[in-house]
Amino acid sequence: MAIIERPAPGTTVPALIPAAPAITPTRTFGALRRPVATKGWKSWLFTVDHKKLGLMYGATALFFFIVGGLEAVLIRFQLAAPEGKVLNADLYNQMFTMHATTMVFLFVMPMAAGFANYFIPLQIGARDVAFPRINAFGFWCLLAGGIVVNLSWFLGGAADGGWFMYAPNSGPVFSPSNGVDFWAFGLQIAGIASLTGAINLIVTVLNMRAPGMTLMKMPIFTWMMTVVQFLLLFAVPVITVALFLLSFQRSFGAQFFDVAAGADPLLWQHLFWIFGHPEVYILVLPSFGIISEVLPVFSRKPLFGYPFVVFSGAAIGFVGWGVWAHHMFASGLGPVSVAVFSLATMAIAVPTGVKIINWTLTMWGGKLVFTTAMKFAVGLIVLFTIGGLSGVTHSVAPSDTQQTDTYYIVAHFHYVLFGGAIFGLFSGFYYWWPKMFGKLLNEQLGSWNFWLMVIGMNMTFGPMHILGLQGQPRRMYQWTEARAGEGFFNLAFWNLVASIGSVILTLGILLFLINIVVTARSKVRAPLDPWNARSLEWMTSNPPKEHNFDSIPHVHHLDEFFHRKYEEDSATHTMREVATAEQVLAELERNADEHIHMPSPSYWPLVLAVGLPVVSLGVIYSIPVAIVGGVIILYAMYGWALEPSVAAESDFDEPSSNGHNGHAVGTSHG
Amino acid sequence: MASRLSVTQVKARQVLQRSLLAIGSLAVLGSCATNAPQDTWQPKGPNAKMIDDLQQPVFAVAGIIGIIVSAVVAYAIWRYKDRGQPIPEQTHGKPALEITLTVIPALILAVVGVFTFRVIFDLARTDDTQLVINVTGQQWWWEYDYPVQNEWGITQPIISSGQLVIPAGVKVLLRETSRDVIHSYWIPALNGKRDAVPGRVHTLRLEADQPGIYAGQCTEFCGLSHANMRMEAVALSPADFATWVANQQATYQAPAADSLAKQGEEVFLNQCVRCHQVNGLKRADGTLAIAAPDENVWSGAAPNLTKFMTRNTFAGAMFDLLRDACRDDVWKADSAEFGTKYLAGVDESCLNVSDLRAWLRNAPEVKPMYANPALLADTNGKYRGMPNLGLSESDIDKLVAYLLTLK
Amino acid sequence: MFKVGSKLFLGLTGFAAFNLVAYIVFVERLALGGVALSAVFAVFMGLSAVVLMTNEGDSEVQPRDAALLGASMWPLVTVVGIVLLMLGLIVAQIYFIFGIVVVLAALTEWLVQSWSESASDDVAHNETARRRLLHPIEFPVLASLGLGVIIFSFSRVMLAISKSAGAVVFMVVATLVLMAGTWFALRPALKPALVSGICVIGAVGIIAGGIGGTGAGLRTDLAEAAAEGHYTHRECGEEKSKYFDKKAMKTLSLRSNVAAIIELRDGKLSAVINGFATPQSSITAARGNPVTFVFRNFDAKERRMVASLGDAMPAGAAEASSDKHADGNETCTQLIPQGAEQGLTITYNKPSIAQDKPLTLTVPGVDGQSIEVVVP
Repeated sequence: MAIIERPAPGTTVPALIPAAPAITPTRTFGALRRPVATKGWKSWLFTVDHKKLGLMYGATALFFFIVGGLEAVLIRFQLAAPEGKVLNADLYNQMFTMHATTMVFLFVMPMAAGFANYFIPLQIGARDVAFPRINAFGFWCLLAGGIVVNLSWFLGGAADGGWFMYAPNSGPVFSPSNGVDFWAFGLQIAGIASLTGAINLIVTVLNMRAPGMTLMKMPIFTWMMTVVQFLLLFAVPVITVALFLLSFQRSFGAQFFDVAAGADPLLWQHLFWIFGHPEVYILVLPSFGIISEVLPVFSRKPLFGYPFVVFSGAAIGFVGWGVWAHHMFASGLGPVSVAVFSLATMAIAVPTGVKIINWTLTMWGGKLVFTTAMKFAVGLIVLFTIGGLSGVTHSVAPSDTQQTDTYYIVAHFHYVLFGGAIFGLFSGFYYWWPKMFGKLLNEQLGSWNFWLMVIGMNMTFGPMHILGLQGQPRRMYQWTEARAGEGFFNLAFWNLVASIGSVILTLGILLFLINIVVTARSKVRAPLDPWNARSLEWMTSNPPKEHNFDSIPHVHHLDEFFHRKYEEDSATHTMREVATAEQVLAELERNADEHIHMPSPSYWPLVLAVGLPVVSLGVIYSIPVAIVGGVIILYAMYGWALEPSVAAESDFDEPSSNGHNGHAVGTSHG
Repeated sequence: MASRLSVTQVKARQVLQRSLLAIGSLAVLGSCATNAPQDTWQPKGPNAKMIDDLQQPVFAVAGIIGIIVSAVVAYAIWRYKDRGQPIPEQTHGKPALEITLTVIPALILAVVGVFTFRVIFDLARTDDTQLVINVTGQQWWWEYDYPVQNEWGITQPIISSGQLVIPAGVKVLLRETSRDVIHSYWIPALNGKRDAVPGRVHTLRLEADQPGIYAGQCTEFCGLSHANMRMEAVALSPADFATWVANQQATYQAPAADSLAKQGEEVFLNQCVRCHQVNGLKRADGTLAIAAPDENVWSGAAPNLTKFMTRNTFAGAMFDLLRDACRDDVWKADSAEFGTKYLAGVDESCLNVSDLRAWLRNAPEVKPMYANPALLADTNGKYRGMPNLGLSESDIDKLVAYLLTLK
Repeated sequence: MFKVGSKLFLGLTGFAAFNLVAYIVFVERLALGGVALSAVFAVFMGLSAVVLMTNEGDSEVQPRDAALLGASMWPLVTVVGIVLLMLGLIVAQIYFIFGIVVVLAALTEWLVQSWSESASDDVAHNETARRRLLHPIEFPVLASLGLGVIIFSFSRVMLAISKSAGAVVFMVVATLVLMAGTWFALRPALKPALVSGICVIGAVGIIAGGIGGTGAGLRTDLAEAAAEGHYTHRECGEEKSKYFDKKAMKTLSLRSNVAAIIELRDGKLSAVINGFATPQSSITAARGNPVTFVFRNFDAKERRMVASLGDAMPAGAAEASSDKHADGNETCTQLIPQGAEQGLTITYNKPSIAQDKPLTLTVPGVDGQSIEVVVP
C-alpha cells in the first residue's frame, strides 16, 4: 500500500472531500493502473520494496549458485581421471564458460546486490532506496539476463569461449552456435541491473542517511558497498561497450576484432580487463564489508582502525583501475607496460593487506564468540590471505608468464573468490538470516556446513596450486597420463584429490540448503537481537516492518545500536548494559512518525524488463521480433514516465471482492 | 557451549597446520622428484632459470607471511575466545601500529619490484639473438619455419610442425603469430609463455642448456581441441642440428616404382595434396604439386609433410609417431645419446601404426574439430581441422607406406 | 447563416484565391507556386464547405466553459504540412517526406490537445495531462532539431572559410559561448528576457552565418579535392592529382609487433625485422594470415611502397587485404613525404614456389632496390 497512516490519538482526521467535478481527473495517466496486492505472488511481482527485492535478488542468486555449482562438479568429474569421458570437448568448453559466467555475474554479484538492497537502507536509517522502481527494474533485468544467458543450453548450446570470451575466438566462425550471442545479450541485460543499482545505491547512501550519520559514522558494510557501486558505475559501461561490439560483430558482420580489416584483437582484452579487474573487487569487497560487520559483533569490540579499513577500501577502488593488464602479461604488450602493471599490482596488495591486519587486530583483545557467522568470517581471513599471497607471487610478471593460464591461477582466484567472496556471503547468511526471516539458522548444521566447506574448499583448490606449478594448463577438457609425471606431485593423484574435494564441498553447500529448509519449518522465532549487534539494521523488528523504522533514529556513534545498549564506565573503561534491544526499539516506536509515505508498487519495471530479452531473441533469430520487443520497451518507458512514484489513493486497481488474493475466489466457489 | 568451542579451536588448528604443511612442502619438495614434464620449477635453460631465481624468494616470503598471519589468527582464536570475560574496552585502533604494519609489506614489495623490473627487461631482449624461427599458431597445431640464415646452413626456408628443433646452448628467438585465434606458446622448462596473436608478431627467447626434449602446451584457450594443441621443443647439439638442417633441405626422393609406397604417393596426390605440401613432390605430368590449403581450410594452411618421419609426433603433437617403447627410448635418452636417437627418425618397426591409421581413417573422431561439412556455413564450406576423407583400408595401407618414406 | 467558423474559412478561401490570382498574374503562369497556391485554395474551399454543412464551429451553444479551450496553432501547422506534401508530389520527394512528418506531428499534437481539453473539468489538471503526455516527445525532438540546425549552420561556416580563419572563428565563438554561460551562471538574478534575448541573438547569428556559408560554397581546396574524386583512385604509380587522400598518412595504429619495418634511406631499401641484428633484404612471411609491413620514407621525395601479390593469387584475394588501393596483382601504400610512415596489411595465400616471379616489396622511382618476400 502506498501510504501508511498512523492516526494520532485524540485527533480526528479532517475529511478531505474535494468538490466533485463532472469528470474527475483520475484515470487519465497511463494505460495500466497500479497493482494493489499486498500478499501473495502478485505482491512480489510488482513490488518496489527494497527488502522484498533484496530477497528476490538473493533467491535468484542462490538458484544460479546451485546451477553454477553443478557445472563445477561436472568439470571436476571430467578431470578426475585422465582422458575423461563425462563431457565431450564442446560440452566441456560450454561448462567452464558458463560456470564462471554464472558464478560471477549471476551468483556473487546479485547476492551482494541483494544484501546491499536489503541492508543499506536499514543500515543508514532510510525507509527505502532513492529510486524504488528503478530498483525493481534492476532485479528484473538481472533475472531476464540470467535467463537469456542460460536459455542457450536449450537452444543449440551455450557460450563456449570462456568467460573472458577473447576475440577472435568468440567470432561467428570460431563459435558457430548461438551460445555467444545469448551470452553477450544476457550480460548486457544483466549489466543494466548493475548500472541502475549502482546509481540508485550511490544516491541513496549520499542523500538518505539518518540525521547525524556522517560518512565516517556509516556502517562499514555500507561503505564497502558504496565503493563497489562506484566501481560498477565505471566498470559496467566498459564491458557493455565490449559486449555491444561483440554482438555487432556476430549479428551484423562488423569487424572490430578482424585482423584482415586492420583491427587488433588485443582491443577486446583491454576492454574486457578494464572491466574485469575492477570486477574482482566488485566481487570481493561486499564480503569484506560483511565480515567487517561480523567480526566486531562477535569480538564485542569495534572494528580496529575503521578509517583505515574505509580508506583502504577506497584505495582498492582507485588502484583497481590501474592493474588490468596484469591479466595480459603473456599477451605481448612489451616490457614497459608489463613492468608498470607489475608494480601497480604489487602496490594494490598493500591496501588489501591492511584489511587483513585490521580484521586480525579486531579479534585481538576481544571476547570472541564462535557462531557460524564468525567461523565463516575467520575462515575468510585465513583463506583470503592464502589467495592474496598467491596473487602476490604472480604480480611478479616473469613469474606470472609461467603461471598464467595454469591451474595455479585457478587455485589463486578460487581462494580469493570462494575463500573470500563466498565465505563472506555465507557469513552474511548466518548473521542476517534472523533479520531477514525472523528465524535463526540452525547453528549445529551451520557448524557442519562450515567445516565441510572449509575442508572441501581446501581439498578442491589447494591441490590446484600443485597442478598449476606442475604445468597443467586451464580449460583443457582432458589431461593425459603422458604429461602427468610420477612421484608425489603427479597430476593424476592431485586431480583426483581435487575432484573428491569438490564432492565434499558440494555436501557442505547441500547442508546449507538443508539448513534453510529445517529453519523454515522450525517454529522457533529468533530473539530481537540474537547476536548483541552494533549497527542500525538491528534497531528494527525481525523481519523489519515495511517502512523499516517507526521513527528515524538520530545517530551519534559509529556503532549506534551498541551505544544505545551500553555505556562506558568512565572509571574502569568497561561496558555496562543500560538498555535491552527491546527497550531501544520501544523508544523508537514511542516517537513514531505519523504520516509515512512509502513508494507504491508498479507494473512498469517488470514490463520494461520483459521487453529486453525479446529484443535479444529478435536480434538472434528474427528482426521483427526485436521490433516487437522495442515496442514493449517504448510502451513501458512511456507508462513509467507517466506514473507518479507515489500514487494517489484512487490510482489503484480495484481489489477483488473478497480480499486481495485471487485464489480466495476459487475457494469460495469450491 | 565451552566444550564445543574447544573442538572448534582444535579443528581450526588442524586446518592451519594442514595448509602450512602444504605451503611448506611445496617450497621444499618443489624442486626435486620426478615431476610432470611441464613442471614450472625445473628450469632447463637460462631464461627459465632467470624466472625461477626471481620467483623462489617470492614464494618463500609469501609462505612465511602466510604462516605468520595464520599463526596470529590461531593465537587470537585461542587466547581471546569467550571465556566469560567482560566486554572489552571499545578501542578504535592504534594508528602507529597500523602504519607500521602497512609500511612493512610495502617495503617488501618495493624490493621485489626492483628485481622484477630488471628481469622483465632482460627477458624482452632481442639484440643477442643467434637463430630466428618463425612460429605460427593455427587451430590446433604449430607451424615452425626457419628463415634463410646461411650461418646455420639454412639456405632455403625450412618448414616443419609438431616439434620445434633448436640447437642447445644457442639463443633462439621465436617470432610468433597466429592464423586464426589467439594461441600461446609455452615450453615451461625453457621460458614463460607468450601469446601468438593474429596480425601481431611477438618474440620469445628460448635457450636450452642440454640436448633433450622439452614438453609444452598451448595455454591460451583456442577452441575445441585446445587441450590437444601440444608442442615439444627438441634441443640438439649444434653438430646434430646441422645434420638435421641439411636433411630438412635434402631433395625429395620419390618412392621406387611399383612399390606400395609409390601407390601411396598417388593416393597422396589425389587426396592429401589439396592441403598438405610435400616439397619436391611432382604430379604424373612432371609439374610440381602445390597444395592449396587456402581453398580448403579456413585458417589457410595445413602442416607441411616434407620429412614427416623425422618428427616424433603428428596431429598437433596430440599423438606420438613413435610406439611407446621407442618414444621412451628417445625421451629418456641422456643428453649425449639423445641427438643420434632423435635423428634416427621413425621407421616401420617403431611407427605408432594404430594412432596414425585411426587418424587417416577418420580424423575428427580422434581429435575434436569443426569438420562436419553440414556446419560450415559460416566458413564458406572450408574446414577447420582435417575432415574425414573416407579413405579405404587399402588406401590407408598405401599412404602409411608412402609416409614412411618421407624422412 | 454565416457564423464565426464559416466566416473564418470563407475569408481564408478568399485570401487564397486572391494570392493565387496575384501569383499567376505577377509572377509566372501555372508553375510550381501556382500549383501550390491552387492546392491551398482548394483545401480552404473544402473546409469552408464542410463547416457550412455541419455548422461545426458556428454553434451558439457552448457545451463547456469557453475558457477551457485554449488557442491552437495545430490546424495552421497541419495545413502547412499538407501544402508541403502536395509540393513534394510535384517537386521533390524530400518535401513530401517533410510534409508527412509535419502533418503527423501536428495531428498528434492536435489530438492530444483536444483530448486533454475534455479530460476533466479542471483546466490545470488538463494542462498537466497534456504536458505529461507530450513533453517526453516534444523536448527531445525540439532539442535535437535545434541542435541540428545550429550544428549544420556552423559546419557550413567552417567549410566555407579558410582553415586558419576557421580556427579563429571557432575560438571566438567558443569563447563567447563560454563567457555568456559564465555570466549567466554567476548572475542568477538576470532578467529572463535578457538571457533569452542573448540566446536568440546568438542562434540567429549562427543560422545567418550558416545561410551565408551555404551561399559561399566550399572553400577552394575542398571543392577541387571533391572534383578530383580523391577517395576513389586505384593506381599504384605516380599520383595524378594534387589532393589525394592524405588522411591515413599519420594514423598508423600498429607501430610495434609488425612483421617488418621497410625503410627507404639514401636510395636503399632495407627490412628491419625484430630479432635480426642487421637490416635484411628478404622477409619470410607465413602463408594464409594477415601480415603487416610498415613503410618508412626517409627520402626527400614523396614515395610509396608497392607489394607484388604474385600471379597465383586466387581471385578475390586482393579484396581480402585491407588496403583499398589493391590493383590487380599488386597493392600499395599511399605517397608519403619524408619522415612519414604507413602500414600495409597483406595476406599471401599461395607460397613462393607457386609463383613465376618472386614476391617483392618495391618503391616506384627507386630502381634496383627490392625486398623479397619468401612465403614458405
